[in-house]
Amino acid sequence: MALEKELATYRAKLPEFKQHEGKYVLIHGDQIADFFSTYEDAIKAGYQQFGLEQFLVKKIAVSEPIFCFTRPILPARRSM
Amino acid sequence: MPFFTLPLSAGGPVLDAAVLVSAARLVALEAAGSPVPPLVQVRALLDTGASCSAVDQGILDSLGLAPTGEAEIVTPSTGRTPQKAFTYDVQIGIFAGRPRDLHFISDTVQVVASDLFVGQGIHMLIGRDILARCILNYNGADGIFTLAY
Repeated sequence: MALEKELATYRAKLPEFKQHEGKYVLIHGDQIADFFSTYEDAIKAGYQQFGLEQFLVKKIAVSEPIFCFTRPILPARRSM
Repeated sequence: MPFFTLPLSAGGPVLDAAVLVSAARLVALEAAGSPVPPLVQVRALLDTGASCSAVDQGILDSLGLAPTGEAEIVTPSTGRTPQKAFTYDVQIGIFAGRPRDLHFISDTVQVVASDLFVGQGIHMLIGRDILARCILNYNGADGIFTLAY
């Protein structure tokens, strides 16, 4: 599954990320690359450091934010 | 702020938009000597009921994209339990009523992947994450909407 390793790294390291709540973490495999104030900066750094290899950018939140839609949509089946 | 006015369709404030690889990915593709996928023209709905934007998985696949994030979403179809969705980094433009009049409104935005076209007949929902940077005027009496960005 895509981003499996990166997501596992995020979940394992989340307790250590308290001071970075609200920032975006850049993860490649089991490597925590850096923390950024904006999504754009994190994505830019991801492509600069890792090129076209897989990487994860995730907003650090102890309580996972939930995106809401009023239309009856579902996540793409191929995604998950 | 630049702005444009378009007619409302039966589906509401639907417009022609463009989805491209994000600006950062474009740089990486060029550095790798890889071809840059051309923009994909889509039908998009300005959706104030969406807290973030979503793009049809088929469109994302046609751009050769891999996910760079994950999010939890709640919709009338998911019920109360949030479901996980991959997210992708893309660039968004809007065609202001004329074929070549493309306005870029975000060079890096995080979008949720959904099978939109099958269920909704559109390829993209432009949500409040993008609309937060815009002024949207919905003039139902005259059948038009105006977007300033």
